[in-house]
Amino acid sequence: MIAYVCKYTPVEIIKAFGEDVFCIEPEISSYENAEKLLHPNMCSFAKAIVEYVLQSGIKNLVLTNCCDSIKRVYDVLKDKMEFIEIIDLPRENTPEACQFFYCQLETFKSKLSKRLNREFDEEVFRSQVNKLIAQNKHSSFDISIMGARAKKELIEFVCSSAGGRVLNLTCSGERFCQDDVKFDGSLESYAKVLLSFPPCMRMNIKRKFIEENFFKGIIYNTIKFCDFYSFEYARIKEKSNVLKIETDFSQNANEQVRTRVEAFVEKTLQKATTSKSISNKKYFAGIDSGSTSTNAVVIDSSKNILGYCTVKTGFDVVSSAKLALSKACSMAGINEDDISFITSTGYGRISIPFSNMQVTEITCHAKGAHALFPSARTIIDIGGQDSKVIKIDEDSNVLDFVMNDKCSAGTGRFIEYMARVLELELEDFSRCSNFSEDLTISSMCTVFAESEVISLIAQGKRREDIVRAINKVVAIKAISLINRVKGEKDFVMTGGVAKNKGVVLELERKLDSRLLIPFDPQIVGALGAALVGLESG
Amino acid sequence: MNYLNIYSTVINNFLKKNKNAYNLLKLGIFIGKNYVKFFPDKRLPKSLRYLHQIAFSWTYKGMTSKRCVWVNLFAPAEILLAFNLDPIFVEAISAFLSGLELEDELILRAESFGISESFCSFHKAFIGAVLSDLLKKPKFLVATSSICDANLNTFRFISENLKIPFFFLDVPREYSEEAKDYLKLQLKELISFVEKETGAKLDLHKLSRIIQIENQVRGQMKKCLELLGKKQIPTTLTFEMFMLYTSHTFIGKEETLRFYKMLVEDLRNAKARDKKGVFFIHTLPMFEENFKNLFNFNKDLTIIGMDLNYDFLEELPTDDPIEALSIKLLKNPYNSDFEKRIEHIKKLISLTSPDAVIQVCQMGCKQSIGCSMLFKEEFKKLDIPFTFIDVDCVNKKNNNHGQIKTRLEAFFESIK
Ligand code: SF4
Repeated sequence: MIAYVCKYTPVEIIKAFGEDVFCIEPEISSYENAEKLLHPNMCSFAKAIVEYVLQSGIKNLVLTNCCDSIKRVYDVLKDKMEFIEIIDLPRENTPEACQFFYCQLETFKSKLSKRLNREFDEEVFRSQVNKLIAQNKHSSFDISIMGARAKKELIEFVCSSAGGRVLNLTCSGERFCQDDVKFDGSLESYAKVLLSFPPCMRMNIKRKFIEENFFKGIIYNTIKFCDFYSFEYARIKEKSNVLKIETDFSQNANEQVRTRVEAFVEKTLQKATTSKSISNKKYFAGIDSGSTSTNAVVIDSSKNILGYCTVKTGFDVVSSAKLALSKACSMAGINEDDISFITSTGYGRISIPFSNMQVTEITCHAKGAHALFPSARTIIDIGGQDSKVIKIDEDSNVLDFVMNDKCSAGTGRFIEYMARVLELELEDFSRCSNFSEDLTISSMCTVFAESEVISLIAQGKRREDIVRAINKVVAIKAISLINRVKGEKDFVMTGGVAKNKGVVLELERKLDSRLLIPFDPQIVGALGAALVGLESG
Repeated sequence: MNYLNIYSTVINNFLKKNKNAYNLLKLGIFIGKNYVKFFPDKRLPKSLRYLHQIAFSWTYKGMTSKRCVWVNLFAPAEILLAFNLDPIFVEAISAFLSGLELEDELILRAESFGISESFCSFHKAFIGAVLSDLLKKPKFLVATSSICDANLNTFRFISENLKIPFFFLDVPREYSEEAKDYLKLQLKELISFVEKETGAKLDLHKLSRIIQIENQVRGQMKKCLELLGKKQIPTTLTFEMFMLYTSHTFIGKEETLRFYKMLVEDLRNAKARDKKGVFFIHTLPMFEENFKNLFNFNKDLTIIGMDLNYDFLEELPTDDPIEALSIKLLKNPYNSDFEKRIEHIKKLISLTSPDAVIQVCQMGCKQSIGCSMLFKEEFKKLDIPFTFIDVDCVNKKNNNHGQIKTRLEAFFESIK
């Protein structure tokens, strides 16, 4: 059994020797062994391979010199394998490059034959390569995943959300030829076949599939410390049908990524998931199960808000949802049984068993904000753990949206943390007068920002000024999200941080526009969910 | 506030307001170039004063001349020199801009454009400068795939953005006859490309003359290596970095040969080494405060050298320059696997017998940081004190000075 990593690996040669071969899909929970061998700042995929190989006792490995990280993977695993090869893969597909690659394949073939001590079966080889050529994947896909290598689990998730119409064009995605190539059974022509695969970014070859843009939606995956793909993303980010996500190989695709992918697929394919049937009663509830708080809103069929409530999300998502709902119902003066349709949204939406429908918070925020402020075109939602900006049209359709990546910079959590460092209450962040000096905190990272705050304290700077500097960091982070969707007036601000006048003020200053703030900025998602429920009936 | 601070504040303000600061930058380098010529640093030996001058004047040319070409450190600049072009390498420009305290604004610009935070800051500052119109458009770009992935990314991006012709050399990772054939064909194409872009014909004789000089330079380099172990001259991190000009892009220049001859002379006349000598792997953080304090004209420590300044020491055939260049590119020990790299470094170490070795882990540089743990093992076997330190050589904001100080001090305490 031989393991490989890169799609350009001459798998068909290995099979022609009658040997089993498989592509490593690293499933790991920590980098314990890998970080003994590789610097922590290496890309998570490279570390995951090392970890996986060591943990699962793989003894035969074939790599290509695909990137700096993989070259180092070869170096650190070299003495730990029974058989390890790194194939010199050219970066061009010119005739000279094909000729060079052919020589590499020839060398590989003879090394393998020595190692396995078996005959090379020409017949098998021919039929394997012909099978490869027969695959044409171009048309009939709505959504494509591109960019850096993605975990299998993520690909499967996207496939299931989009009903299977997904093409994997990531760094080492599916193996197929993008041009017509002739195969005459020789290794020379096999080299040409391999080099006609849709190129990854390490190749100096035009990526036609991205230029032509024939997919309805592109999910663009990036990995920290894999820099290739940020260049392409920078180029295509203006396109309206692109969603950027950042993943790594250490954990399961987090909820945030799932939400964004689902919302994107919803937007692209215009669909929502209905699970239970609807009865004819006239009250509708929306539950927004967020990571820090759970909100519920009850409306009637004329869209009047009858009751609402916010509770902290405890360990048990379901009971927090129940509690919020029952409190909202009692405020509305109705029984829970009177509710005809419950829509859930937020991180925990799929875990609420009594909801009739699940919709992402992107769609719900759009609906909710539009209902409160019909002039709203951009929604800035800054919650406890994440922030997002959603751009909508006059009918509350989502035109575009972005979310912050993993880290907590610029969210409620960030402010809370800084409040602790400053030994202040959260309310103090809203008191925004009396500034004497315009201080700046330059780092967006919570950890670095903390040390900057500490040094400002040590320099004897005034607390009010430090607070303002922190509020400015949050505002700047939000502005960068707003810029990414090209946000337009009117701006609505939702989420817990909307209660912080300091941040609101800084944002208004930077946007040079007033922000519309709902009477309770935290319930907008739940309100939207209730409205989606009402409209779907 | 000194003049440099005022100058960089003005340029930074220009950048923030999206105003074109090219002329201001040009003026600054012009003044700098003349300053080092007429007011050289008296603490430096003659050779390094000369190096200061030539590095400044090459930078000035590379950034202002009509014939400038942007290259990566490993690009075969010999061909460009043979066409009388003015090459300049990415790292030189960004180190320069960082010296002028401009990197923060430039990196921000690159990142807000979408370039990832983890990308090497040498390249990012450069991209930021390009996006800010801070640099004069070059005639064209030449880069190789050797050693570092960032090159293809940066140059392709610039070529697409500024619509500048770009020639990319795909350098295989191992030396072999096929690899050499593949590369030689590409080098020939590169020559036709340059001929087309300049309208001039290559003078092969001139190119082989350049290779001859290069061979002589390497002869002098070897003499330096032998002396570096025994002698010490007053130097700074900056000068070790300036040597990247003479060991790479400009290695075929007469001035380079003159510099190394002077350096050999200075070393011969220098006093015997009594300070602790440190050998650097990969690069040098010449703007980082702790490193500056520890190494620049220090009374206890001296910089012996940096491996990248001695990455290729073989003699090249002068009768066939294309063959020579392809050998040089393919046999560079850093282009292949770790084994070749460590073998080469061991040779340098045994020539210079340093008291300690430091690998500078430049933020974002996977090709080098990926070797850290392997280096550690190897140096343990050799019983030479070794450490690797994460430092950003361009983006000062990325460095935690307190932590670096502790790490460096603890390291030197342990080898006392
Ligand atoms: S993710 Fe990037 S750095 Fe990692 S293996 Fe793929 S191309 Fe290389």
